[in-house]
Amino acid sequence: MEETTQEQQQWSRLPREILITIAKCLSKTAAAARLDTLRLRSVCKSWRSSIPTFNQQQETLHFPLGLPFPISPNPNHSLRGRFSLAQSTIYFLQPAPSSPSSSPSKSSSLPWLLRVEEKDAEKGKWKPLNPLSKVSTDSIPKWFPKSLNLLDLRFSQIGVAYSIRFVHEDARTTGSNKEDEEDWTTMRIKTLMEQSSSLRVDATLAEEFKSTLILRVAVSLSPWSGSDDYAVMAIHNQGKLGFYKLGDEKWIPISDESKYHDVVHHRGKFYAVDYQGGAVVIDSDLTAKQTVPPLSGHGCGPRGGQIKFLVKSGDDHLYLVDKFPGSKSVVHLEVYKLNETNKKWERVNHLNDQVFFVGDDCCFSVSTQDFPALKGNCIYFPLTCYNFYGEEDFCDGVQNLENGKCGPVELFQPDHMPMFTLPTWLKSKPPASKK
Amino acid sequence: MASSIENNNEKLTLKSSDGEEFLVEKHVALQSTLLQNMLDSDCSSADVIPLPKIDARTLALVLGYCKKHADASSSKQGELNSFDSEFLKDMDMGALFNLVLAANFMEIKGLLDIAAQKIADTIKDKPHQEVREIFHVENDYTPEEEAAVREENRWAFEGFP
Repeated sequence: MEETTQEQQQWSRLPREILITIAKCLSKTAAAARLDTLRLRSVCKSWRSSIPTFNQQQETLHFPLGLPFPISPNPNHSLRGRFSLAQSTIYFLQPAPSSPSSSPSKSSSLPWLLRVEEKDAEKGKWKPLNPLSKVSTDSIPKWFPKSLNLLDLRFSQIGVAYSIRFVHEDARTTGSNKEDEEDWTTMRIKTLMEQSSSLRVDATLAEEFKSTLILRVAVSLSPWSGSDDYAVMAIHNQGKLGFYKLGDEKWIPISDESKYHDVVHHRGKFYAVDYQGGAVVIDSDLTAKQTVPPLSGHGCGPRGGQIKFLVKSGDDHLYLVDKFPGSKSVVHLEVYKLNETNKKWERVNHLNDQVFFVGDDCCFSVSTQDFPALKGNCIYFPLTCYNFYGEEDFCDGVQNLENGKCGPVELFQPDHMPMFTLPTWLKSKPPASKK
Repeated sequence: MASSIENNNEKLTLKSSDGEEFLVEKHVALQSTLLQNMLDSDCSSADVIPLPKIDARTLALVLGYCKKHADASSSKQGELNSFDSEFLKDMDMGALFNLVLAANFMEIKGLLDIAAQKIADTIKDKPHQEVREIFHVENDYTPEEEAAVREENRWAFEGFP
């Protein structure tokens, strides 16, 4: 008994430098660092005083980061501004143990999928994003909680997504209206769509728009070893690759004739996949080397409609998800796993009990071993569907690789809907959010 | 120069907090930056180096780690990695605590890193309630501090109409 008491005092008296070493081990990514820091600071007095707050941690990168604009040198327009690299984090939320002594380490309830972007670190303000789709983030659904407390919930970080937005120079100088800053490209899309419907598209505007549009971003960084390793690979100008290293003045275009759909950082290198499924590796010499040949039987042109996604699985393999878009009845996904020795994509019909989330701008994977309430070998993705008024809309879709069934989660896996809407265990919280 | 003469026998004795003595080959002891600095600066002081903060059980573990790493030299990194992961595998939290303190005190960076990583893996993604339970740490906040902690953990969402 006495020994236990001694132990109690021991851990709370862990020397500061050891605690900081542990904190560094916990946070392999900058995205995880914030939450891990909060958790450690919440344990007891001495830990709270030993671990500096996330905002005080000088060596950690704080998003959003400003990057130079444009990526291609000598653009044929005079648009000025900069890029802003934002980081969003995807979490699974589960109820925290109400009585610590009876807490199982793995909760059996279905987790709630939450994606947030930090808006104001000082004030703890966050912007919720749609986990899978980058559209329809303007309005938050009515049921969404106004605030959450990390102490009441089990947060598991399951993914990190990066996006690059263009910030117009005017917005930067006035600097007053933050929302306008973010919406420059969105505003141009609307203008261009209006113009195209009246068949009077402004060519300069179209060029400007193209140079500000970043399709996908992959980031590699090790937050604790200084910022020197931090690098960005972006797909811009409808399929071209550009590389940027923190501190550099300019982007370095990766010269290549292909048209890329997705890029990830995997095992210390950047991998990009083109519209035919061919994959290249970009190493420190910044040249794209063909490493996987295109998928066979892919005669379709760059506008064939299929979209290729790269997914890093939890067991450290690289997968290619080929999305055949369309409305409910047509849409389906085909999945290929990279055979590292033969350098080939191999079609698979199971994911080793992994679950994939293939969003418009981010892909991530979880294991059913970590989240037993999930159904394995399923892929969730945004699905085009039509709402009550017949307007085009997005809903959450699922494909079960085992039986090939594919459709809206609401219809095909109604029991999994709490993952995308508010779960009952969160609803039943005391009505603290009510005014 | 002069320092190396005394230790030409390539052995030295370490004494644990509970009085047990360990005869250690010098190249094994050199895994510890603390011992290295002691040997470099002054070796004439004593034949026995006391380690008043480290008990015999922990010291035996530490020296086992040092011997493996000293003998394996640079060639067999793969073997060392598997040794490292086995080394801490079934260790209880009490022993791990003593080990991480010893590694920190004796300045054995490799051991400190794997012990800290093991602790980090144990608490990764766990709510603070469970972390407290694992480490037998009491919630010692005053109500005011508790309120500050809650406020720090509160996320307010923006974007409502």
